[in-house]
Amino acid sequence: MTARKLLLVCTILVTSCDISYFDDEIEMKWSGDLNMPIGQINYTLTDLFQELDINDISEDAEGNLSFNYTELISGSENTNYNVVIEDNSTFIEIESPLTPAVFSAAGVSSPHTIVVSEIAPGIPNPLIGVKKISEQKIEKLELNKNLTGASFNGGQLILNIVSTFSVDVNITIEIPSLTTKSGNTIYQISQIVKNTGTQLKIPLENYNVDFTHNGVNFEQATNNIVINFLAEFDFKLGDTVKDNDKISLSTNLTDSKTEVIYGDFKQERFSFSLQSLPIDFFNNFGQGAVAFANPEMKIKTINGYGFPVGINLSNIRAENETSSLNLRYDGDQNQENTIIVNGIETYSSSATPVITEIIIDKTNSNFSDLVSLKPSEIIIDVIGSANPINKLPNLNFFASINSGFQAELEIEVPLEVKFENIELSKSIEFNNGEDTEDLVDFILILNTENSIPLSGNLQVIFLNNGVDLNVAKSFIAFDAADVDLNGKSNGYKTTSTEVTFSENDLEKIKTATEINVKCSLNSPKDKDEVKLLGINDVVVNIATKANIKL
Amino acid sequence: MKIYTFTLITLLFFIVNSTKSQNTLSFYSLGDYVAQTQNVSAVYLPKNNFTFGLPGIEFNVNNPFKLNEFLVKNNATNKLETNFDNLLLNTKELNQSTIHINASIFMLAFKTKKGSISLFANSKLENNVQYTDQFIKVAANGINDFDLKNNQLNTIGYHEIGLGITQQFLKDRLAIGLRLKYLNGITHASLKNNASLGLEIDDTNQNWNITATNASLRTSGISNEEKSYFTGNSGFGIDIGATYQVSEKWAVELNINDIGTINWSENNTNYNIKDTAGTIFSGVDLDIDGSIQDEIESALNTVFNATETIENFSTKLTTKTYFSAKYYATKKNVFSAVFANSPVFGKSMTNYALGYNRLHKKATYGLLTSIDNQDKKIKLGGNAAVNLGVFEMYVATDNFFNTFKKVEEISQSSISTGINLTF
Repeated sequence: MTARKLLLVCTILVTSCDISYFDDEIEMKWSGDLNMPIGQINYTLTDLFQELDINDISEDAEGNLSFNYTELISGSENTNYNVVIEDNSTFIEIESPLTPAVFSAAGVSSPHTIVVSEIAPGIPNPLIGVKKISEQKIEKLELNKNLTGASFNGGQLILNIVSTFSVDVNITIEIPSLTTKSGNTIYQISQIVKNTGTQLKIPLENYNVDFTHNGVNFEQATNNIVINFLAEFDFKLGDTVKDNDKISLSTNLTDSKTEVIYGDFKQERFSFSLQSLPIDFFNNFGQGAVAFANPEMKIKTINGYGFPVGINLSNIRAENETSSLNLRYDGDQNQENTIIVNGIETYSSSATPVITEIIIDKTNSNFSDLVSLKPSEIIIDVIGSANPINKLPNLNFFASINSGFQAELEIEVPLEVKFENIELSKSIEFNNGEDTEDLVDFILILNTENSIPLSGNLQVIFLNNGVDLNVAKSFIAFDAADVDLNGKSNGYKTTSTEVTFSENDLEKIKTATEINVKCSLNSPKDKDEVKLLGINDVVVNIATKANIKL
Repeated sequence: MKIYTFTLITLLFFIVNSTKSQNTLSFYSLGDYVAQTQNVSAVYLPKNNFTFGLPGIEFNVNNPFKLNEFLVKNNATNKLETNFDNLLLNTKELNQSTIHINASIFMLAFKTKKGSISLFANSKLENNVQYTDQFIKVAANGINDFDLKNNQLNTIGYHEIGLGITQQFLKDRLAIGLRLKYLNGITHASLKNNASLGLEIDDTNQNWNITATNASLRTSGISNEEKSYFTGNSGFGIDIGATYQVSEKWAVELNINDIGTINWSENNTNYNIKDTAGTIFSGVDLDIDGSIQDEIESALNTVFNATETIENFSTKLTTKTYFSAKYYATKKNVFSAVFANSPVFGKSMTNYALGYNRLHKKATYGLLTSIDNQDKKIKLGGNAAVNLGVFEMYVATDNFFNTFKKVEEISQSSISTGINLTF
C-alpha cells in the first residue's frame, strides 16, 4: 500500500461518519407514573362549619356543638298605657244661707244691716247666728283608662276662692282624693275669707291622688277627684248682709305629671316589634331530612311594667323557600300558644324588672318540627295583651320611668341530629385546567379517618360556565364513626376510596371553570340522633396515582 | 430544589451520556509513529526529529444501547423522540459504559540522542457509568417502588499540560518514559461508593418509605456560574512507561498512565441525602395558604434531608495500565499482544488484543482484534499513520464495523485521529 492510498483510506475513515440522523429535531417525550402522597388535611366539625360559612355554632365545655341564634324583641309603642291627666277645672259655689225667705222672716229686705237682735221680744233675729253650708264636687276625669290612683311628680292644683260676703267666712276645703306623699294625709285647708278673693296653689309633686272616692268612700270609683267645700258664717249685729251673697271655689289642675298611675288596664293589646331571624345554618343544606333531638327556644323576658303580659306565640313560624310552619305551644295550661310574663307587682322607683324564662322545647311545643324544616328564617310575629288572666279588677300600674319590656329569644339547637342524605354543597372556582394537561390518567386516593358519627358521600361536579361537563364523580368519602350509648363518637372509622379520572375525563376537566362539591351526610341508619362534638374530625389523607405524559 | 437538582444531574449523567469503557488498543499500536500515542504510552522514540501536533481527537465510546434505541424517529412528525421504554427493553440487569475523549490541543516532540522530550496539552473527558435496570425503570416508568443500588458514576473533565521525557538505557534496549502533568479540573461528578436510594410505596396510601445510604453526589463545574477556560481546581499527575527489547524479535512494554489527583476547590456543589433506614413521606399539611407544590418541594427536601454543600474534595485519576508484547517477524511486520486494564468502580476493565502492523519508514498500518471482559465480543480494528512531506495523518479504531455505521446505530466505537507536522 502506498502512502497515498493509505492517506485515502485514512481520509475515508475520518470522513465516513454519518451524523445526518441528528438533522431532525429532538423532542423530549416521557410518560410514567407518579405515585405519591399529596398530604393530609384535618377537618374538625368546627372547621367544617367555618368552611361552610356557618358562624353561629357554639361549643360548650364538653365539646357539644349547637347552633345558636338570639333575637331581641321589645314592646313597642305601648304609649297607651301612659295615661296623661289633662288640665282640668271645677267650680263650686255656696250661696248665702240668708235667703230671701230669711230676710222676709226677719221683716227686712236685702241688703240689710243687722241692727236688732230680736225682731220681736223673745224672737231672735233670724239673720243673726252661725250658719254652715257645704258642697261636694265629684269631678270625673276624662281618661282613657280607669285609673285608681296616681303619684304626681309635677303640676299644681290652683284653688281660687271668691266671696261677696262683707263678713268673714270661715271656709274649709278638703280634697280626699289628694293625700300627701309624706304623711298620707288628706289635703285639707281652712281659711277665713272676707269680701275678697284668695288663691291657693297646691304643688302636686307632694301628693298622691286616689281616684276611687265616690264622695263617700274610697275604692268605689275610678278617675274621680272629690272636693269638699265647707263655709261657716257667723252673722252678728252690725253686719250688712245680702240675700245674694256667694262664695265660690274654682280649681284648676294644670300641667300635672305623674310618676306612676294605677288602674286596671284590662286586657289591653300589647304590641311587639316584628322581627325576622335569618337562619343561615341551613344555607348550605340541600336535599334530605334532618331531625334534631333537643332543639329549644328560650324566651327570656324582662318586664319593667306594672302588669303581666301574655304573649301569643302562634305566629312565630319557620319559613323556607317552599313552606312554613307555625309554632304550637301548649306549655301553659291557662291559654293555648301563650306564655304569661309577670309584671312588677308593687311600684317603687327602684323596683327591678321581673325576669321570666320560658323554655320552648319538644315537651311543650312543635319547635323541633320548625327546625327540621331547615328554615331560612324564623319570623317572630308575636302579639300580646296585658292581664292575660283577667282578675277583675286587675291591679296594674304604669310608671312614667320604666324599663319597658324586652324579650330575648335564644334559639339553641344542639347538634344531636339524625341526618338522612343531608346535602352540603360548596362551589369552588377552578382555573387549574392547565395543571392537568400532562396527566394521562389520574387516580385520587382518599384515606380517611373519621371520628364524626356521620357518613359522607361526595359528589364532585365539574362545570364550564354553569354547564355540566358530565365528569361528575361520586364516591364514599368517609364512613360514620361508631357511637357510644350517649350517641357520641367513640373512635375513628377508616375508609379508603379511589376515584379514577380517565384521559377523557381529564380532557373535559381542562375546560372546567367551577367545581361543585356536594357532600351527602347520613347518620348511622340503625341509630337515633347522634351527638356532634366540635372535636369530632375527619382526617383526609390524599394521595395520587397518576400517569403523566410529557 | 436540592433533591431535584440531584435527580436531574444523576439522570443526565446516567442516561444521556451513558457509555462504557474501552481502551484505545489500536491507537496504542501506532506507537512511535505518532507523538500523541504518548497519551497511552509514555515511552516515545520518535521517527522524526521534531513533531508539531495539530489538534487531534481520541474518542472512545462503549454504550449498552444504540442511539436510535433511545432517540426513536417518529416518521409522522419527523422528530427524534426520547423513548425510555425502548431504552428499558435494551437494558440488562447491570450496565456499564464509558466515554473517553481526549482532545489533543497541542503537542511538541523533539527527538533526542537517547529518546525524546515533548510538551503537550490535552483536554480530557472521562465518563464512567454503571447503572442498573432499576434505574432505567425509574426513568421509563416514573415514580414506583425502586431500589437503586450498584449505580455508579464518575465523570471528570480536565486539562493536562505536561512535559514528557523518554530516555534509553542498557544500550538502548531499555527505554523509560515519564510524563509529568499539571492538571486543571474543569468538571466533575461522582456518586459516593455504594450509594443507594430506595423507595417503597405503600399501596394503600401511597406513602413513601425512603431508604438512602451514601447517597451523595459530588460535583464541580456544572453549576451555572460563569466558567473560564482554566479553573482553580489544580492537580498533578504522571504517566510512566518502559519498553524492553528482549531480543531482536521480541519486545515488551509496560505503561501506567494517569497516576494523579485533582483538588477540586472551585465551583463545587455537593448534593447529599442523609443516610436513612426508612423515612416516611406522607405528604404535606394541606391546610395552608401558600402553594401546595412549594410545600411538597420543601417537605421532600426535609424528608430526604437533602443538603447542598460546597466543601473542597480531591479525586484520583483513573489509572490505566497497558502491557504489550511485540514480535517482530521481520523488520516490516510486527505482531503484538496487548493487555489493557483500568479499574472502574473497583472492578478491572480488561481488554485483550492481538494485532499486526506493517511498518514502513514513513507509514504504518495494521489490524487488531480485541475482546473485553464485559461483552466478550470480538472486535476487529485497524490503524494507520502516514507521512506525506511534513504532514502526518493518523487514524485508528478498535471496531471497524461500528465505525462505518451510522452514528445512531453505533453502540460501541473508538476512533483516534489527527494531523501532525513532522520534520
